Amino acid sequence: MLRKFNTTRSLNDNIGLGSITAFSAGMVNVASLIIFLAFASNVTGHYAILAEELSRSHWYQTLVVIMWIFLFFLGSFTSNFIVIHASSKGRFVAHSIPIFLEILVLLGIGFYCEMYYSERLLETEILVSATSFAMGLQNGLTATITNFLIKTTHLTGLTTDIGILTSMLTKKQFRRRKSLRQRLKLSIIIMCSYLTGGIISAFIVHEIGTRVFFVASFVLLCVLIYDLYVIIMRLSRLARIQRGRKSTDLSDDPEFFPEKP
Amino acid sequence: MTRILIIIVLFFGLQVAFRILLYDQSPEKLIVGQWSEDYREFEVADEPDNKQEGLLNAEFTDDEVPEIHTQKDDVGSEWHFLDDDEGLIVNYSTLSEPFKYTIKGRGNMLQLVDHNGNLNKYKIRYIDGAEMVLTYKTDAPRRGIVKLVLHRIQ
Repeated sequence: MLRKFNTTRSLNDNIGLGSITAFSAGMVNVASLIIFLAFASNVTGHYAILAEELSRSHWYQTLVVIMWIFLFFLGSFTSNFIVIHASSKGRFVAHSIPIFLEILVLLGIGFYCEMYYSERLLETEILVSATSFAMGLQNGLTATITNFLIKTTHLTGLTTDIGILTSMLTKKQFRRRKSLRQRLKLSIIIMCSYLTGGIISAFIVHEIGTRVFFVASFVLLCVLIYDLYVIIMRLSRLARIQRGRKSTDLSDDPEFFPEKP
Repeated sequence: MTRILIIIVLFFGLQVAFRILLYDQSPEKLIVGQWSEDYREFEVADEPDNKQEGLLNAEFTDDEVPEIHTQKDDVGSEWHFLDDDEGLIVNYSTLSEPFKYTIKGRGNMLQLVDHNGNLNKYKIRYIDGAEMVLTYKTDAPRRGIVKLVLHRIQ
């Protein structure tokens, strides 16, 4: 899911990455809404609120909303920054660092909530900022490595895509195009995953409280574990082949060796 | 990576500085004190389908029916928001009720939990040193959004 970049990605790669990250994002967003009474990645809504708060001269709230938007931006920036600057270390490493960072942030939120959270306003605002940063990291990563095809933390663009694609499928000439059908399938799977994550989060947050952030981190960890498993299996297979042939040259494989400048 | 860390540290530093400057405007700070409820009214409400039928009109006298969005019950209670997690005490005309209160969101959501653990959510529409406007959703006597206007007791 994280080992490939842009055009080399298959539909299944995108479905795997999109569905798991959307599931996690749905969990985080609903948890944030129930626990902190604020959305983690409703950036469009944040801009609308910012305009409203500015017009009413509510400087404190204006600053808070600017902080949330900026942290989402910073998360997205950080993701892309890591992907483009760490590509020399190999694609998997470059693509997994943002997910790893997101897991750390979510674990941090969960840990802080369990140990110290006393529901003060400043704490709440900073924790929402942290969730915004985590969602920015995730959105930035998925958009970067799929050439802006997948965005999993908010569904405005996705719902637009589904609307356009279903409309296109009303014409026979478009229905024949496999790429359109695949894109619609991917979008619907992401939407359903996000919704499922949100519903599950809403149910379990009443049982386990803020530990829901640990569950969301674990879901993301599955992406890393799966890719690591695939890499280990391929490495061991290649090692067997190498032992058999004793002369296999793997230096051209970009998944295991850094790209040469 | 170093550049990103510098940006993050700078941003949070600026945030803290601004927060200190704006500390007096924090809704959590502004809300502490004693407030008296001036009035509450339906800001948005479903109109009753049939004015002769039961509960929907039960809260209103004949004179109040034309002003269907105004509910005059419960007005006059005093809300005493205490500092340092001591909670909120609401004094009605005959009894007092303690609540635990928290302010969440961007300072726009007020959560009250009574001694039975029942949760009430209010939206803080406006707050300053003198006036506070809260809204909440209701299903009874009819579905709608109720607005409470409170003024600070000096």
